[in-house]
Amino acid sequence: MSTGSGRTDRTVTVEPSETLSDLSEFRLAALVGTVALTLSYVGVLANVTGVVGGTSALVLLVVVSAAGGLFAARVVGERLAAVVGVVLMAGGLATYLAASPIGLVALVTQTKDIVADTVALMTGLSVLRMVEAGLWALGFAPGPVFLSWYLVARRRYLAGSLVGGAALLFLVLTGDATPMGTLAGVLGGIAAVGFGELDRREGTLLQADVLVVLVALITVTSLTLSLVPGGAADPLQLNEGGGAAPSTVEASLLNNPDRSPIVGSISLSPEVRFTVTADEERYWRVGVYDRFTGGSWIRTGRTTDYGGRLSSPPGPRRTVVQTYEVEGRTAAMPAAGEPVEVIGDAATVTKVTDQRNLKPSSTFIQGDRYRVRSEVPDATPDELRNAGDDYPSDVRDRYLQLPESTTDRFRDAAASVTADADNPYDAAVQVEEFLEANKTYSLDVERPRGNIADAFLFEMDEGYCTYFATTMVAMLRAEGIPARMAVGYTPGQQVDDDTYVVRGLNAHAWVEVYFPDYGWVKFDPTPSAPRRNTEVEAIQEAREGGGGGVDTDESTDATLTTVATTSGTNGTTGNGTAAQVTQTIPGFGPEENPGGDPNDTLGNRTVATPTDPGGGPSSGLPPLPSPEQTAIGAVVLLGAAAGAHRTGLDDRTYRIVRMHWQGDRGEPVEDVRRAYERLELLLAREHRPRRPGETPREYVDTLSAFGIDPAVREVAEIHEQARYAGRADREDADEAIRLVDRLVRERTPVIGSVYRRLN
Amino acid sequence: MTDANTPEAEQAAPMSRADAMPDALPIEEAAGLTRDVAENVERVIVGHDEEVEHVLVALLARGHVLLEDVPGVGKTMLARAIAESIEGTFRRVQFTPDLLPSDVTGVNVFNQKTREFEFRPGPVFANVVLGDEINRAPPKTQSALLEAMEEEQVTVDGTTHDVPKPFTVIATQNSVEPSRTYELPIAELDRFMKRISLGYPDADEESEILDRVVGVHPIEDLAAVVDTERFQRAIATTAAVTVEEAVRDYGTRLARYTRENATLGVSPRGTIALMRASQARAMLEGRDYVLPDDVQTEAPTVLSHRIRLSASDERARSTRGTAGSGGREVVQEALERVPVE
Repeated sequence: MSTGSGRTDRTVTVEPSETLSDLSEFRLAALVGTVALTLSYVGVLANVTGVVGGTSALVLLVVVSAAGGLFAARVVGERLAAVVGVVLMAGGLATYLAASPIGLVALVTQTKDIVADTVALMTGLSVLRMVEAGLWALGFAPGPVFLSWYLVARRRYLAGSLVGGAALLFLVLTGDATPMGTLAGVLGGIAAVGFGELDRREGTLLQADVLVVLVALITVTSLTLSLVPGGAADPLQLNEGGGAAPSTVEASLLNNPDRSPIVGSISLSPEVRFTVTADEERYWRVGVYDRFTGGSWIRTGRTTDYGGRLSSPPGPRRTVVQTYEVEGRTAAMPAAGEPVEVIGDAATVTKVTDQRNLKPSSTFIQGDRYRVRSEVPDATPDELRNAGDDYPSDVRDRYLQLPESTTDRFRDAAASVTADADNPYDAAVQVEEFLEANKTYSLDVERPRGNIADAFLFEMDEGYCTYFATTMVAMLRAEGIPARMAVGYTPGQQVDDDTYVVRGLNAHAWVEVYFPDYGWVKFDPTPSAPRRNTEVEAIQEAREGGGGGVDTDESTDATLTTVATTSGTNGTTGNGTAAQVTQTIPGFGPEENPGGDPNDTLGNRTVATPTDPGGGPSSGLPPLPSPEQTAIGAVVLLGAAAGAHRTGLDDRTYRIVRMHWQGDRGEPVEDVRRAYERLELLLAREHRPRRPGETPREYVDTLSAFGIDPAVREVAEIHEQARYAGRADREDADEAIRLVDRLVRERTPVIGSVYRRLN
Repeated sequence: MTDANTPEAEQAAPMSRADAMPDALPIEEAAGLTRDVAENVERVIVGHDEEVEHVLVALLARGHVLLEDVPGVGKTMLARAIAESIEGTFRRVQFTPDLLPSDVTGVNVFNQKTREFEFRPGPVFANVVLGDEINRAPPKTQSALLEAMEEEQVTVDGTTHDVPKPFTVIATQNSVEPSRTYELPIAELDRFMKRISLGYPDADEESEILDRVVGVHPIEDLAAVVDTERFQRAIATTAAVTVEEAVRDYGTRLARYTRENATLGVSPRGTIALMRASQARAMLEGRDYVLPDDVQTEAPTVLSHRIRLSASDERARSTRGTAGSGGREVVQEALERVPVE
């Protein structure tokens, strides 16, 4: 299709200028399709820059590239344009490499790594996981935009759409493109090619119906069928985030190791995960996230093999050695922060992320065991208060990032909460206290749209650890304090002096704040008492329910005791400021209600329903369809209309209506004509339609051979007189209408048989 | 057209036809009269009922007929029988290369006794004129006949003489000896209302012809069944047949179709001829309004000879029929494709 058309293309571009009025409908439609395709991949890039900054630069770059493409189409040959496109792409890559830690030299020296990186990207590594994702996005955009618009301007729609489609495909492979955006892009590409062909071949509008049907079919099929095994269980879910939402805290935090979406309602899993033997109780950290997109957390950078002892973090440290015994299959490798050494065989299967988190390279199964030596910060609050704010540049670059969706009101709120603090430590404590005091703990929340931190701060009254931690990190970052989100497990049930049973429901998210010379210090803004109540209740309920895996040998009889820090205190220093709240509940105590005031909503916690797709606030009114649903509905309707046109269904329906409906009485001649028209429709359905060159008289004569109602001939004669002799009075007209009414009624299913019986 | 017999319409009519149209006969009577004429003619002409009707239609619609035929199939007999049946005069002109216009129209002759020029009418002054092998005469002579056909009058030396009424010319073209002929230009062909051909009779018909002709030729004792005056009234009846908008529109669309699908399509004159012929056809059936069916019956003979195709189109279409039948193919196509409304 694209080859062999070069000659016509060249003549097209010779035309001096093409004003809007010169555009055929098809060219316009093809251009709109190209715009949709361009927007689909630029939109993905804009999501990236929306997180890390630089959206306005991206928009400018895209507009300039598209305009450049359009301009070049008039002045430059295709070979030169291809060179320009390649140079743009190479230039973008070079800019990215020059700024990235690898450096431009790597292009020569580490080609293997670059290839490996590209493969990683194309097999699902999100663009957002790259440290310099923004720069990458800016470098990626101009090439495809320039080339696709150049080609489309030259009426090479297929080639143009292929270039745009390739860019979109790359982003689909990285997993960054949303289903809706991809769909829009694919449809845009198809529309560009389809309408473009119609434009080039000067097709007619009615020939576009196949294209419209195709587009509608693709839309509906892609939204309703999922052939990817283990993929999204509910493909029609149009909620932000898409796909099946994890339904437990643990799943939401720990199952996806590199990207952690923030979800709605979740429940707690009471199954035992680990038994930890440690010198002191800590939060057993599994992962750390540094990049906040507004809706999820992403871990940037690469994961490397554990190559022996890690460097010690700065500042005063205590050593804590932990032994983990795995009680259930898991890909997590908890360790108190910061781990410095993995002792024993497990070291060979350990990997380390950029943020110094441990990861097993293979899944642990029950009975596996590993030892970790961690160095935990040992600084007093006073020391931290005086730590200053002279952050290293790599910390600043990575841990002060906020998405562009961060509002001014959020920054203002962060500023006012920390107004009294004159150092980062106090600011962190104040944010922590503020959140604990003002928000309630609940697992039953509806995930808001847009920026989670903003929504939690201003629109929600309750949430769980993820919401608290996310909001605290965002507030601190807004204040210029490097912070990050940590996920893992709380200490769990203490069954012996130094032994803790950690269950799924102990999964937790908290905050780590960076202090120069002291490293990362833990803060936990989640109100601990309600959370612990919830956990205890969940265990009790699971025991009553008789589910397996709830207990280990020791934990059944031991008091169900977990430890947490109280409000307004951080557990990092462990120097007496942490008051321990111990809640003791007998192993089986159904009659006892956990103390305090567990939130009413807790009754719902096991109902692990993800948020209602497209559902608005739970008011009495039925929710309005979302824009996506409306758009899909419109596409489906359009497709149905085009399909009806293609199959002639619209004509048939029209004919049936016309056949039954005489309409208002008017001039006798007109009435007779209308009655005869209905008769012909009836005869057409029963026998065959009148051929174009066939006169009414011939028609009736021919049909007579098959035996027709005498009334038919009667009507035909009245019609002949009216139409060709201009003779018809009211009586004739009424007679004709009466006869046709009878004929039509007799032949209507159901009514017809009743009618015939009555007469 | 529908009210041509009313006084207003008469005044609007061309001056050449200024003589008053006689009163129209009731439709049934006119139809019956025409049927009588047809039957009478068919006593002489065997097996050409359709062609007889075509000629009568032309006569009733004040048109002329071009017979394209091989010699000896009864062309002269047909013309003569019609003339006899309506008590009209019949003259035959054999067109030859040396025929002069005055041989057709007549000449002014100086009368020695009265010492005045006296007009001696040519063969064109008859109710039915048979112009035999019209394509053998030079164009100037042809045009003398054609003028009479168009104007229903003849001008000799500045004096105009009306031809008798009714007036119809049946011209024949010899298509088997094309050498030394002057083929009629399309502009002149256009003046014939119809082009028909008789063709050879089949075996039964031919033996019946022999049966009738041996002995006394039936033409010799063919009697008139109607006088010219009454026939004129039947012509008036024909002119009064209703042509509704729907039918006029259909005729127009047929003509337009031929114009869009041939090098030269049907002229407005052709469309008018089609409507008139359709009126006569309706009258023949005893109907005082025209149906699309009438138009369809008339279209092939009225329209085909007015259509010219490019050489390649003619070849392509003629493969389906006989050579030179391209025009008929186009008309047939038009009848199939142009929707009747």
